[in-house]
Amino acid sequence: MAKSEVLAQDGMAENRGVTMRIAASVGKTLLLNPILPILVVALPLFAAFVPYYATLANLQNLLLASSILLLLSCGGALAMITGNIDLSVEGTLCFSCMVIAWLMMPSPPGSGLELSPFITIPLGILIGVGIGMLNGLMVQGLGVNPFIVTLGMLLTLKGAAAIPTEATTIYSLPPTYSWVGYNALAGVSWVVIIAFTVCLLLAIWLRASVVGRHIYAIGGNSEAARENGISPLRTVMIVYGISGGMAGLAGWLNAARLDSASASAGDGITFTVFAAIIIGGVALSGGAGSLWGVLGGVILLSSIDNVLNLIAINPLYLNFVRGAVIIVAVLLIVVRQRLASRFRLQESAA
Amino acid sequence: MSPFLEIKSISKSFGGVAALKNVSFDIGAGEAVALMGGNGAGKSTLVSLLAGLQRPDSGGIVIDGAEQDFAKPQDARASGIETVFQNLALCPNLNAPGNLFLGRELYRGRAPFRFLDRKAMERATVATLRDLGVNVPDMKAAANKFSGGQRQALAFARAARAKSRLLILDEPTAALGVEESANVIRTVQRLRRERNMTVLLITHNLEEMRAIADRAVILRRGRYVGSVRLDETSDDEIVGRITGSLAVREEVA
Repeated sequence: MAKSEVLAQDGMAENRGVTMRIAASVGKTLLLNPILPILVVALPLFAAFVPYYATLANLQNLLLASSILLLLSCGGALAMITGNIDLSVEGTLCFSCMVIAWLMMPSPPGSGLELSPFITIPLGILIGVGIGMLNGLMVQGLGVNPFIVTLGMLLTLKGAAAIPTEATTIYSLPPTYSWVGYNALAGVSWVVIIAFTVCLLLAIWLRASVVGRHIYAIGGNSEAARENGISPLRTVMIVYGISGGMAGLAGWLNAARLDSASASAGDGITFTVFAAIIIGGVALSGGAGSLWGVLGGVILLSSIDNVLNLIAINPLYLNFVRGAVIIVAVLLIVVRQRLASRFRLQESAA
Repeated sequence: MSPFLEIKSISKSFGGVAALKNVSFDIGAGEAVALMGGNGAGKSTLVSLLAGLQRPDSGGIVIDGAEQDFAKPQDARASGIETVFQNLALCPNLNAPGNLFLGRELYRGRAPFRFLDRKAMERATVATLRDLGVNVPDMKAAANKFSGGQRQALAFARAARAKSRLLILDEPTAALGVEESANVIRTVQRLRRERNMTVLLITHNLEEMRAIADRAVILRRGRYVGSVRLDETSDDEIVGRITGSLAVREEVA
């Protein structure tokens, strides 16, 4: 829908000035983007009132803290756009980096195989892809409820991650493996560069590719997609495979950043991942949402944690504040959706 | 009339329940055949076989004398068979071009980096819809903003492409109002007249059957019962054959 048509529908006067046009355009953009209005309000407030928030050093911190969450959220969002859910990403992250660390390290605590990082880094991502495709096969191929399958997978993987080293943390990983965690390009950590580049490419691919279109189609009406020759099994396996691969990648970046691998890596991030996806505007019922929105959700949630840190809030209140903020954000999104549909601003998903 | 489509001794069972038992009949090129039968007659199963959604257990589908094996919907479409499903098979979250090219998107590049050619799809959609006299006001609006008639028209436009030769219509007016139903019937008549389109119509509506079809093929409980020319058969006789109250009398069309 062209801007002018929207204005005409709103029944505004014909002779409106440029200011009105811009205002209407900005209003429309704000209503159509799930997360943008909140960011537009929240980030300047943070910058104005929270000491050190708007400093370069803190921005670097913020991006670093967002990287792992972003990878997991983008993968999880793909699954949700097909109308499914992937609760297993935290388990995949943990399991893949633990197996890799075990394969790389001398015994004990490792296996003694001392595989090269040039093998184990791709292997870690492939383990993630494999786990994801297994999820996809069970969900779409066998028709098992995705909630149960991936929740079970989360528990299984978190448990399995503790087995090879008997739950001890592995420190001092090979320098080649951890290099990305300790080096930066123009002040930006390689962890940030890799995570954001991958998610950016994925966001473009989801919007512009044929498979991306099929992902939205499956989420919109799986039966219609099938009747038109789109294979739900193939598409859902691709989606879970990507989600798992992103989690495997996150496992590497997380371990490199901390220079350690532990069975408790990523503990509790699942909740934040889904909060970011929902706040980012991905419909729980599937078929709608974009990774740009998810990126916004990730930035918002990371900023909130960052701010709570900066103002040195009593850790006792941390989860309470986090949870409350997420509920408020979701409420704002519902209000926005109501407004958008009142102004008939709903556009097609893809 | 040389047969365009031949259905040869097709059988299909689901978990021991036979949906189609040794069904055979032909459809001539340019002919419009109504497939009639009560619930459980096997009409929907036959449609899903012709649309490439399922494969028959035995028997074959022959088009223009060539044996076909439809492993997927694209295979059926490649042979010129297009289906308007009863549920219309539209994605509510996609716009008109998105639905018109669902499963056969125009793209540039190679897999897995096939990128949508949105401009080309939009142009083709505008042309197709205009050609059918369909009015879709907004190319960017999602299908869930369309009226029932517009949705039906979109599903029709998708099926009635230049390359389609056999149009399968699965209860096309079941969910439509009087005026919209009349529109659908006019469109089918026009497609037959202008493009010599072959039509297989599945319906329970005798009026619709007479408005569109030349001949009725009757199925009962998965079996072929017979075929009658509509200009020489009364409604009562057709109903009798569907329900089985009239004795089976084979006729060859």
